Amino acid sequence: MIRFSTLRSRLTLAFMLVSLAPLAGASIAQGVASFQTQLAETISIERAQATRLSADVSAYLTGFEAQLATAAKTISALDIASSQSLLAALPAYPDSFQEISLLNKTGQELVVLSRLRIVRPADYKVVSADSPEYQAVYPAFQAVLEQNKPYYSPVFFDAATQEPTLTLALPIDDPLTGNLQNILVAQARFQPVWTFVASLAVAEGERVYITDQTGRLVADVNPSLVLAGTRRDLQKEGLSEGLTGSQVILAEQEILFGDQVFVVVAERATSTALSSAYNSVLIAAGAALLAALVSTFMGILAARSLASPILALSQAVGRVAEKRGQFTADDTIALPSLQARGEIGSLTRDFAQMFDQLRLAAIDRTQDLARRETLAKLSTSLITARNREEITTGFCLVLKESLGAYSVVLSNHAPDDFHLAVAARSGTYSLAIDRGQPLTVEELGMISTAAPLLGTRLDNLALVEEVLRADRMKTEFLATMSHELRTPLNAIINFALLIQKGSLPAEKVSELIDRIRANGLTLLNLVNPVLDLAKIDSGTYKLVIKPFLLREILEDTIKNNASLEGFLKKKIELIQELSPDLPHMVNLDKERLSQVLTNLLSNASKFTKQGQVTIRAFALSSAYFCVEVEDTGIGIPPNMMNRVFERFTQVDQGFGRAQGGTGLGLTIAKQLVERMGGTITLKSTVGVGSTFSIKLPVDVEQAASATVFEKVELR
Amino acid sequence: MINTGPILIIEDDPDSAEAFRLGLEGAGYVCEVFGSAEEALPHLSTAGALVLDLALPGMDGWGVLKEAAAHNVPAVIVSAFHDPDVADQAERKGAAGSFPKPVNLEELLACLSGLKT
Repeated sequence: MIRFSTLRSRLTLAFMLVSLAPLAGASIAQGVASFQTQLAETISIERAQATRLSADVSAYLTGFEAQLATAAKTISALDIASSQSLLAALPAYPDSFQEISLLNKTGQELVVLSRLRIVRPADYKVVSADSPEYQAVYPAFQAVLEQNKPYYSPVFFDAATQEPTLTLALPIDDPLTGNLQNILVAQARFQPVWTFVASLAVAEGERVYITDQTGRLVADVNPSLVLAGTRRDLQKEGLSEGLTGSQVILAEQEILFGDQVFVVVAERATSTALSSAYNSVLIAAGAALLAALVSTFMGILAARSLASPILALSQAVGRVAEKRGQFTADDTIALPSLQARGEIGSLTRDFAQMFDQLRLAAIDRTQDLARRETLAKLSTSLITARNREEITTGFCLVLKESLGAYSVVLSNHAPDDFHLAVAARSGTYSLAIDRGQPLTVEELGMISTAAPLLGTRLDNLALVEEVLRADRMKTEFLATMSHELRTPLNAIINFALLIQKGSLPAEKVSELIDRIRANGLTLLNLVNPVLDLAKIDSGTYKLVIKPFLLREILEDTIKNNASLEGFLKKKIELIQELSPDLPHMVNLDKERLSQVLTNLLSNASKFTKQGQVTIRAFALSSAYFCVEVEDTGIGIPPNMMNRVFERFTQVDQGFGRAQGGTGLGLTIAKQLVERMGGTITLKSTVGVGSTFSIKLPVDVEQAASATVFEKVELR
Repeated sequence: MINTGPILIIEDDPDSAEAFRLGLEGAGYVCEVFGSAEEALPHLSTAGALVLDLALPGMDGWGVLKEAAAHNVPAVIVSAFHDPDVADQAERKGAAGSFPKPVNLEELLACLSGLKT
């Protein structure tokens, strides 16, 4: 007995058996007729499928043209010099397009809207044939320039997006002369077409795909073949070689899109399409098989040993195919025993390996697509956001849906000039979006609020918070100042009006004039600190350093402040404790020293309801002395201690704002003390009181040179 | 709506209150000045109208506005908060008018005379 140990020898046997078939010629002729009917039917089914699909695809492609025409209208109507109007155009930027550029006839970029990269007007260039970044744009630009008609490129694989892409370009005429003025070039995503094709319901063994004129695959259920696979047999209808090289029945339908021809192909594997036809052939052949009993018996034996593993394998392949590439990490597949010997065994092992690779690739691709889709959505929602609500909404929605953690990069050009170059980074992909204008503080605030809630990391967070806090304080300060300024202005303006009317008695008029003056002084006291701080900030604030009698200045200042409304009205005692060891003469700016003390006393009078305010001065050493202002006021909570010296800060406990003022007094005091070579510190207990201590040098000039000397020695 | 009672000026800045009082009396109104909401509230039911500041010690102007609405007394807001939101909010809460400080007395008087017809 012969051992059929190899596939080749088994097949030889199978062919021997089949060659017996012609013995039943008449029956077979009948089977063939049935086969031909079946073939014709299948062709007509596939023809219908191709026609239906081509209508859908053609609608999609027409959509590209329509969207581009709309975009063209908006973009060419732009005032190109203004980035504001560029923003206004963004809602008209359909997401089918990765990038749209408006070029003039020399190839200079006038407007570039991009989902792929950050392009600022300053980056606009002249497109050239040599530059790889313009390898899609340049030919389109050139073609329109030469022919003055719309241009459609073949589908190509865009390295930047990793997607099949189509370049469309339109001439834009000068509305006055009708001559070619500009050229609009857009990169359209072909992927939606491909996704659409992949999603089509097809019959078992059926496959639909799109090729270009040369038979190159541009859309298929298997994404790895797109732009890689080619249909070799370009027959239009009937029995042909399919995409994978096997025998199929197919029908095709052409779509004209500008200069390009797309061919929609629907094919069905002959084995499934004609199974019933084959059956009738087999029935006919049955008679012949009966006539050769011994051979048939041997044939059945051979077929069984051959068929069962192949059948199992084919079922496994079928199951893999059913998944249409939608694998998950724990997908498994039942395979015939891997122990099978010979070619079947090695085929099975190969298949198992292939399945494994396919599964891994598919998982990668699924995650990848999801990521990319999220990024695309993020870009669309942020890029088209017209106001802050839309930014937040878009941002939240997209990040909620996102898979991985995104890092939102707020790039900042200057300390408070954050750009929504909010880039979403995920895995190896990054996508940067620039709205082309700095973020408003409100937008920045919303993004920094939304991000942590959504598990998103914000780059530059510390800086963002600093900007937000500074802005909050500035806003509060402006609101307070505005309120504080308007109240005395109201009195001044209306008193003046009443006097002008002339219907008031003379003594009332003179009272009102006094009140106008008092309100004017109030205004001056509000405006002065702001001007002082502005001068200190700009460095134009000059100290006048002259020797003076310390005790005299301290006593004068205390006397002037004892008449403060706060001290008189609330009957707060003002105690002075000037130590005998105080230096006699000091070399400082006496006006500024007096101003600092006045600020501290004024604060103490505002925030003390009852008790006393003590001003104490004593020597610290031969070179330094200290002045303290201690009150029995409301005190300052620990968390505010460091901040009271910051500008615009008011300790508002339902108490601060009612006291009025600019909130700049302590800021100015600190700056002045430091300018005079000293320090100011604070001790406070809420409900008990606060003590501000000023340490100053006796001679600021000597102190300054001593410091320099120390530094030199240290080296 | 005819209200015959005095106009209550509720304003904590004495100078502004004085300016409003002189202006209103010059136009023939009878006025009473209060430095806080708490002092003014007992007189609300007999008031003809209110000239009402928002930033007051204790109960603020919004609280007074609510009380005034309950008594059907028209109130005109005068506030140093210079914000369109204040005007909107005042209108929503039923104020008869809203003037940012510095207030134009002529406009305030025109608004009050509109209430009296």
